Amino acid sequence: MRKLRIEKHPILNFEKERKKIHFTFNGHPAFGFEGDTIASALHALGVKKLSHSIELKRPRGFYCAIGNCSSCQMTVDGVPNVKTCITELKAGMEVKVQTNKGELYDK
Amino acid sequence: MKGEKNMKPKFIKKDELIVVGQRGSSFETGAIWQKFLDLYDKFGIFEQISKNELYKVRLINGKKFDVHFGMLTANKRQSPFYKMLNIPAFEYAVFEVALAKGYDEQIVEIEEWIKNDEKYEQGRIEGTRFLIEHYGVKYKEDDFDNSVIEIMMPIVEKED
Repeated sequence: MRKLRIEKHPILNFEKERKKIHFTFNGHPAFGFEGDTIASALHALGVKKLSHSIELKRPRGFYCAIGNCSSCQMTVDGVPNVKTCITELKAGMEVKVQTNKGELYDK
Repeated sequence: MKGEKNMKPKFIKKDELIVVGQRGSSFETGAIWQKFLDLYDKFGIFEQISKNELYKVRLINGKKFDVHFGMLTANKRQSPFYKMLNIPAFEYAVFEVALAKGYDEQIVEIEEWIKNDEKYEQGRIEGTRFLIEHYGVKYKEDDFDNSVIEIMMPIVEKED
C-alpha cells in the first residue's frame, strides 16, 4: 500500500498524536486527522479526483493547494464550490465530488 | 442495454439482519456516521457480530433516500440512543464495487441492473425499497485505491 501521509520529516515534527476525524466522502466513511484540510485528508487516502472541469467534464485533482486554482472545489455539507485545499476538515462533514457548476440541493 | 454490462453478481441468502446504528437523510451522511461512532465509543454494541464490519443501508423513497449506518448484532436490546433496523431474511445479489473505479457510478449501474432484470425485482422492508452497502474485510479505510465494498441488492422473484 502506498503511504501518502508524511509521518517522519527531518525538520518538522509529526510525532505528536493527532485526533482522528471521521467524515464521509461520496457517502462512504472516510477519515483524516485534526489539522488536515479536506483535500489533504483525501489525498492521504489516495483520492485523486476531486472535481470535474465544467466544460469538458475532465477530472480535476489536487493542484495549487493554496486556494487559487479552483481545481479542488467540492460540495461540502450541501454547499458547492468549497475550496477543499484551504478548508479545515471537521468531524461529520459530508464531502462530495462535484460534476457541474454546483447546485444547492433541496433537503 | 444499460445496466447489464459486467453485471455478474453472486447470489446469497441471509437470515434476519439486525443493524444497530443511526439513521437520517442521505444529505447528512457525514453527521450520521459521526453520531454513530460517538455512540459506539460510549456504549459499544451488546452481542456484536463481526467487529470492524460496517453496514450502510439505503432506504429509498422515490429519488431521495435515508441512510442507516450501523453494525450487526444478535440482540435487539441495545442502548435506547441507537436506532435499530431489522431486515428480514432475504436473498441478495452481491456485487463487488472497487472504490477506485467510481462508487456512485457503479451503484447506479446496479440499480439499472435490477430495474431491467426479467426474473427479479428489488426487495422491500415494509414497502420501502432498500440496498445494503457492506464495508467488510476488503474495505481498507486508509487506502481507497485498493478498497472494495460489497453492494447487497435484496431480490425477490417477480410475480407473473
